[in-house]
Amino acid sequence: MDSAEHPEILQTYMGVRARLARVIYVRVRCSATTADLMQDTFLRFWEKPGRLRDVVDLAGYFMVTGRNLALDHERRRKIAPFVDGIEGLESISDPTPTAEMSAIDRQELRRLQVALEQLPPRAQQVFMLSRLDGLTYAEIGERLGISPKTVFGHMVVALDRLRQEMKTDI
Amino acid sequence: MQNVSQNETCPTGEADLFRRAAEWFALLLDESATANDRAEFRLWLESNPANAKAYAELERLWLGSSALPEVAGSPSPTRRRVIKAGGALLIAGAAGFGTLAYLRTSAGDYRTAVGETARIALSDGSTVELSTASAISVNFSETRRLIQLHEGEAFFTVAADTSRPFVVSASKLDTTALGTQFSVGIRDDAISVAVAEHSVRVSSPFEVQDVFEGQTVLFANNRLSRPAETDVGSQLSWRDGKLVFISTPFEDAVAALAKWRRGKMIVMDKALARRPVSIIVDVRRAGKILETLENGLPIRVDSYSPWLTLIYPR
Repeated sequence: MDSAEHPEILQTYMGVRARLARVIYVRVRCSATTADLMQDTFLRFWEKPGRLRDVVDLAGYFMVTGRNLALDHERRRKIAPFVDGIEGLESISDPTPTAEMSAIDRQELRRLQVALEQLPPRAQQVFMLSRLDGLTYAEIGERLGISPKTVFGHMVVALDRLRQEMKTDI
Repeated sequence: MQNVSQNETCPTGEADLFRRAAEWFALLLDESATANDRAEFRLWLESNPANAKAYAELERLWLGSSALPEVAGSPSPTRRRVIKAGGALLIAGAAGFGTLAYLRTSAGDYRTAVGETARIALSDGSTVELSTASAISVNFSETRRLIQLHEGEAFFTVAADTSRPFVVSASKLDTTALGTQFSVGIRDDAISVAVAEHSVRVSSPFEVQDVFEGQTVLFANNRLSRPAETDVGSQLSWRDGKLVFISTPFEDAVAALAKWRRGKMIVMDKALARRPVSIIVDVRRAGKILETLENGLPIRVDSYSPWLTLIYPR
């Protein structure tokens, strides 16, 4: 299956390259970082094609992934100076995006999925809109008709619950 | 900036510590976080080595969750499913439709706003594509897969499961499929069912009718029309973000387009309203709809406000 899916991945990537570059560049404002993140986006799919087997819209998934990588990169870049020298947080200041690729294994990912499905509906919605759709709290609030502060509250609940769920049966 | 609890309390237990870590993480996640927030975050990290550990754990979860939704090995790998589990989640749309536009209002309920579309993967492997301003409820049981269409239009790609019929219920009309592709749409005064693959059985309280690939039926005034061979492909072209009109009376095209943009459009000339037009309109860019019409058809458009547009012959 892997080799069979590869041409599709490459072809899709070539097709979305320009758009992907724009989506990433407007967030990181640095050509070198954009190139890195694009490569990282591609490698994620290339190295784990199984992940894509069931994805209906490959191009869309590429774009979402690239944009989220860019958002994460920016977030970490802003925090990096403040976690400098703090034990246990070295990885945050590590600028190589690939460092995060092995963040959690497949089994954990499945448990995370289950935990996500069990969140209170609003917390789940907020988490997904933030993590998967890359929206800000203000944008999420607008969609759900709640204040950014309430969005923040739901996000705290989501993060805290997910962390607890992941911990309990380790 | 959101209010991370500022009072100096020493965490009394692990739960508190993790809660605080979650607050910091959530705060720094958003673009509204300030340099001042980050400086205070530093102080919090330094106050207890366990804080950094808790934060690192959240960071790891966050990074890992970018790979969600997890698409686990399904029993039938050929089935193109978006997600395995009970919940439904949306991946598609980003490329075609600009925003991942859907709102999950409560468990099993999905809705799109004007100009939005969404693709939803259901737990049985079926998918639903919601057209603009549409709403459905999903209700699956051991014996039946029931979808209620409340408004708008939805296209269904049904995963075969002979033990559980797939039923789309819109007002008084039930459409039953075992494994096929079809759409059900609610219009002002009618419900339409269009079949893209295989067949479905349409039943009202008064009659039952099988509808086959390439056919459309209308249900209006408690009556089912005979199945008509129609261009189902162009009828369902909204799924690609395009509306295709082929020799369609202009007023019908305008009525269809009106569902994709806010504000009213009125055709000011009777002859123009009845004139058949053929045009392809990209509805992903609602703001360009009028421009497309004006460029492609012999018409003149006067927009008095975002809410009112009058259309004249040129």
